[in-house]
Amino acid sequence: MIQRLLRHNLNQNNNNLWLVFLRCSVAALTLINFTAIQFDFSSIFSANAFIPPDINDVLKNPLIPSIYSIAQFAKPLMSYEAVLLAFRVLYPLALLLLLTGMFTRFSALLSLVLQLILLNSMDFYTYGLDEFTTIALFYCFIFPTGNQFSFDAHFFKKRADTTHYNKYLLLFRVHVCIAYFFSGFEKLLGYNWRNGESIWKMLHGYNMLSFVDLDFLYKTPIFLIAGWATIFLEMLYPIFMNIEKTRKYWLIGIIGFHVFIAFFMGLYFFSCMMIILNVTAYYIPYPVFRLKTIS
Amino acid sequence: MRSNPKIFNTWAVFHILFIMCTCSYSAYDKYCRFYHVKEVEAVNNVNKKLFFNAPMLYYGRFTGTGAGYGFFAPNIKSAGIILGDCDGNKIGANFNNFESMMRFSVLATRITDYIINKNDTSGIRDRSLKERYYDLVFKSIAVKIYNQNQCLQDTSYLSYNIFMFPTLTAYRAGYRNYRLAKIKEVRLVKQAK
Repeated sequence: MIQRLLRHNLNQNNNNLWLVFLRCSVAALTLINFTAIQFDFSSIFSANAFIPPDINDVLKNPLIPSIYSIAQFAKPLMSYEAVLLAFRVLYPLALLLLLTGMFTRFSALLSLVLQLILLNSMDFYTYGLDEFTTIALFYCFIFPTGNQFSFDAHFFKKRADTTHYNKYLLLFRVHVCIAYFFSGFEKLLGYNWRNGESIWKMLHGYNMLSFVDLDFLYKTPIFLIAGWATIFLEMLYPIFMNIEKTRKYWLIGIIGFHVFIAFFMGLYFFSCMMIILNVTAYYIPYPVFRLKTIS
Repeated sequence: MRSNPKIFNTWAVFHILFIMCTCSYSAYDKYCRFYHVKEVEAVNNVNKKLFFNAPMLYYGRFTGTGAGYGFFAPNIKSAGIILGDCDGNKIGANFNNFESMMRFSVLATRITDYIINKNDTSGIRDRSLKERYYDLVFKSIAVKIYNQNQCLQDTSYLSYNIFMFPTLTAYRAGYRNYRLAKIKEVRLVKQAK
């Protein structure tokens, strides 16, 4: 079965626009996300932040520098504020270069490194979105995402060598499938997902749309069904997304699931990122999309 | 940059195995923590030997594959709320943007994490030091909230609360009221300049 799956994935005539979509959408979303926190930048990063940088630095990952540790290193030359400003300018610039496909590999690497340093400087504030952004930026760096619809392709006349594109896509898909499977599997381990309590708790503890009150459904098995549906949707993702007949329905299901997360938990950026990864892996590569875009 | 197919294939296999291993261990670790089961020594040792070395930790961090993907699993944690009193009004952290507010709620959950897993020594090994560190974190947040709200009163209290809504079972049995369980409180006193 695995051999059949591999053959099916590697011999397919895929639409290679998925690489362009991955690059542009990830860069754009990350840029918007970074812009969103600009209004509260000083509350998160400055010396007057909720958690001042020196306190935050105690728990930082020792493998990667933080803005504070860089500022300490550059103390004779630059103040902490100057280093912070440099990051504030450099990171969106790197993302902009990635978005337009200029020096794509370099800009993807720079974006990734800057993102990791920024995350290390705001460790208390990071959540799932940041992890998936790292993954997406890493793939933007590894895959030839700048070979089409980019300044690189236009100015440096880069010609796309599409020989290995299916291998890249397969790797990307395997990663997404593993992520979903384990996400579902870990939920299955907790009894609260199996009896509907987790969905109930999520709706009351994290409900950002408090005007949508679903309490009147408490007597129905809807929360139990929703809990199991989440587990099934995620755990069976690797199977049903790779079967042609069920792919469309599973994709709609998983996008619906992320839209639900966006509105009920307020995780708009996280949901957008997950939808981008799904569309990149299982929608754009199919010829049906190419036919539509050409016509 | 042209990739050598053999190198790429070898790396891809390693990459997938790495993801599988980290995810498997993450699931096992979470299961043990959730059900208070002691981890099998051998599994722990193998994981430490294979993945707790600088190259692997770097690889995991750089590729975003160093941790599992079990978000909100195996259980959804109770939401933490930081509240204070200022001139007779309830106050909290103020943000200009929803995303920043969202990230601040992640910070509150981290404090809940610490309170639930006080014995967890990852990050800071000394338990009392860890307690003092989180105390400092909470006090920093409290001072910022106090200053942000420009409180006029000289003494103010800020508390960390966990939002307790009745479970589905309790709700079905007729319990309807939610409550805020106060976990920690700090008293702030304005000092004369």
